Amino acid sequence: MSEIRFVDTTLRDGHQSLWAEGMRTGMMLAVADKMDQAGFEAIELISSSHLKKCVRELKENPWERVRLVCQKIKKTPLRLIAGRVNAFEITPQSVYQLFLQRMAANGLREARISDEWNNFGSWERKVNSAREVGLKPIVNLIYSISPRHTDEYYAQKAREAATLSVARLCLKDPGGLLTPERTAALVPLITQNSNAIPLELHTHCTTGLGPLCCLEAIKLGVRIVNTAVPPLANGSSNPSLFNVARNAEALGYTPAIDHQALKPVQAYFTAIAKREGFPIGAPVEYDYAQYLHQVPGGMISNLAHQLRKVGMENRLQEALEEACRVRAEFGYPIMVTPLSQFVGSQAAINVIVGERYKEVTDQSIHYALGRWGEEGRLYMDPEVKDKILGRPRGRELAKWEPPEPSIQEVRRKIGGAQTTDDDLLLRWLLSEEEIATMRAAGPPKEYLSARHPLITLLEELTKRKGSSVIRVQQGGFSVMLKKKDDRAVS
Amino acid sequence: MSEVHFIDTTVRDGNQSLWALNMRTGMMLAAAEKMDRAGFDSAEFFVTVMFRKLVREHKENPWDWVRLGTKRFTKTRLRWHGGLKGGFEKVPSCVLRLMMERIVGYGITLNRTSNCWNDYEVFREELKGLRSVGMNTVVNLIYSVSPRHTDAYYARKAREAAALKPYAICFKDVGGLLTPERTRALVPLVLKNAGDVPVEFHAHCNNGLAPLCYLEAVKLGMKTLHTAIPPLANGSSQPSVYNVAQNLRALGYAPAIDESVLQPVTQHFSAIAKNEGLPIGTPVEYDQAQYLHQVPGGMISNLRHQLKLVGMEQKLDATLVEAVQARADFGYPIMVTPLSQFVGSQAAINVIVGERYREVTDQTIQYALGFWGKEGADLMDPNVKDKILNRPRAKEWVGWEPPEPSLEEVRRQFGGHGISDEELVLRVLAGEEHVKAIQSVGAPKEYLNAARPLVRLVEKLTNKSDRHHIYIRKGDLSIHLEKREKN
Repeated sequence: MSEIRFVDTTLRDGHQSLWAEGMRTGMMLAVADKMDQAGFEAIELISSSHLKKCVRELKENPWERVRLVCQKIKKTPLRLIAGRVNAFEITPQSVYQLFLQRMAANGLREARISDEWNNFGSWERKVNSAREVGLKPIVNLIYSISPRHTDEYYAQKAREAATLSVARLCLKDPGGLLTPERTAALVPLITQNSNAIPLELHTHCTTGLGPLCCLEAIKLGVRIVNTAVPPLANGSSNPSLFNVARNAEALGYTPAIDHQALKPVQAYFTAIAKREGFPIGAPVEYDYAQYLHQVPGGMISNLAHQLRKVGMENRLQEALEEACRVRAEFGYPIMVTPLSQFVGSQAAINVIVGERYKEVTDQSIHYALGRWGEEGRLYMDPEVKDKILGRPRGRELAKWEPPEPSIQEVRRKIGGAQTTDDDLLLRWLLSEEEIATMRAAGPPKEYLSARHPLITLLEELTKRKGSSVIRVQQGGFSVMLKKKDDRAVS
Repeated sequence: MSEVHFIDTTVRDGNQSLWALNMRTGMMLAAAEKMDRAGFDSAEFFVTVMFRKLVREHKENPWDWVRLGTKRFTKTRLRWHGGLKGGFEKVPSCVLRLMMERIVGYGITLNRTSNCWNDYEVFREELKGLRSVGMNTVVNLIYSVSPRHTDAYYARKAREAAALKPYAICFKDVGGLLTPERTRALVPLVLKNAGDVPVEFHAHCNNGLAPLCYLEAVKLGMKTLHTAIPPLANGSSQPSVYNVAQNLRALGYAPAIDESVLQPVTQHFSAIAKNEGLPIGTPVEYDQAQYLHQVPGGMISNLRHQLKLVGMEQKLDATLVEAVQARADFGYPIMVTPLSQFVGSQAAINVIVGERYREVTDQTIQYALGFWGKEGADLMDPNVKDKILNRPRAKEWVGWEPPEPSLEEVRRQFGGHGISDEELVLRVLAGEEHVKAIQSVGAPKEYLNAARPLVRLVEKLTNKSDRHHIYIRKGDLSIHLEKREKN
């Protein structure tokens, strides 16, 4: 019987998809032991966007997160999602290299490599960077739907990826657009064209099909599936571990996972969700419209917001249709960050201005210049490209060369010689002030397991200064706390 | 552009699948006029078992539901769910016929009903009876998964059903087991073999797939779909009318429905669900295990309960495995009431006793004798049948026939000539004692539209007995309530 293995996404994609990256380090630490015992193939821990969120909003040091979690999760390899260091700014190779190096130094063991064009040169650079610092590389083949993203395209990309001799490929479906039919077509194709490098599936439940695609992939030979532990599964997150494992079992496979070890994890995060007002992932209805415009849900709300600011909220449908046209004229980029945002913003501008490409973003110009991938320049509609580049700002940016400073140069510019590598990377992404505010907030807050309300109660009671004896009685159960000379609480 | 038509199931199957028929008459009435405006081809309105539920549990007169509801649905053709066969209850046919006559009297001239074996020979006679009282019948063609339920089976059954010239055929997936793949295989077969008899599609969302199957079916030529209005859609109910209509539009079809007028209905039933603690239908995760045993969810909880009574609750999995075996032994009946219950109960007994068919239920004996469908007797494994029938209790059942008293006899038994036809139907279907208990009950409780908080506020305030004046002001709006002395 065939064994199915699981990569957990709860601590990274789960809360990135459902809790806007709001999971705190303390919450992770509270369940880390149990997650380590469950038998995961790997556990996703962090991607670059979490660094900003940690510092800016959670006031936590992301490096400390990595170090603390790595101390608790020792058996299971922890994984970095290694797309870009900064999604919306062109980043020098030296900074990317340092980013991987520090992640490895702080305890991560794997890196899932991604390029938003599935570009071989970019994969190769990133794979080499990962290998150099001792991270095991896994290469993403990002799924997309367009006249350009044919079966032959994926066969070709699989052949290219295979030449990198990585341990594994990952078919990644960020928009949850895979259907069981497309899964059935692509999985065998990728396998045949990649010298049967083991393939992982990473899909989302955005339109309800993720769990079905996982089963289809398993039937076709995929043995490693990316899942999340509820309540951080479903919705726009990854399929539920429990669901995929149970269904795989019903199909006669052997899920190599200890469900029981993870039940407390589910209970814990459910309690956290309720207490903190975070969403609980639930299966969603199938929504065919997503296949028409392919604009990610998070972006739709952003577009609506932009339009509302100029009093044009009634033109959202028009903006979505415009996004389809812009995507075609941009040469069908994959609708992932940052490319989907470039398409969406330009579409909103076209609608607001009332004339297409009369005003363009700097990112549209850089895109047309090939700075966000050579393919952007190659595939863009020539007339649109002329219109975008044939303006003073276009000519100005054409002359600009993306700088490729060494780390020493970067360090001289920000931070100075005393700055550690970890801090330098934070400074690359954030302001000095933001980092200082984070430091002032102290160590990450502890989150006791919500399954131990008694411990929480005792803890809170012992903080009380006003009374020396506290007695709590409920039914046949009573607790008495007595303060002895300020020294001990029994 | 191709039109797609909708049949609403909210107050019948939605109510039955998700709320265990706990919808009160007043709840339905408060939504009826709005539902009537959406353009449904037809709306399921009542199922025979509601007689008992409304009388016994809600202390309401079911005829109020029928009488008041038919006045509020003026545009939409209402449907009865059920036929002239008593099922479990063994209700005399003459009583069901009388019931149908009364229903037709209220203007409901359309019903949908099943034979649990898709046995259209048996159906022929029932259809004749229904026609004679003025009822047009949609006959079900029930989907099932087993070695016997092949594509050829469905092609043949669709032909047999069409030969009866019913009002329509309803391809019905009672367990929510259809997959998009099976839909693609079967819908063209059913449509082709149904000839010029219209075909409808009715599926449940137990496994999350029905909304997808609907789209597949429409792509293959299905023109009429059964949907429910949230919160009575999804879960184990039908797909949501909003979801199906929206997806069809995105696919380029023209749903013949104005679902925008249904938003207040959703608000109304959602508020009721919250106030009364009734479930809100949500999409569920796909569950492969349902294909293994095909025991309906409601029955699993029942089996667990039975096993618990004998302290063997840990044998549930074994019972589900045994149900697979028992279903095969029984000749693969469709897992639908009452056949699924026979299979499940016998499986539980086999597990509890520890020997297959050493003890059997009376229903198992009746099944083996063909009382629950000739096909049951024909298709049952011969060795199992011998074992079941080779016992004294079985000999007692041989030759037994369900009593079919005349209406006169029934009337004598249930109170004589002083009682009306409607009262008689009630007494037989709900039990005489229970009917008497509701004699003193007045009109059904009104359920104001919960989307009108102001009305609710005033209602609550007028209940206060310790105040003479209440004055409320918010912004431009003020309310002044004053209690006058009773004359």
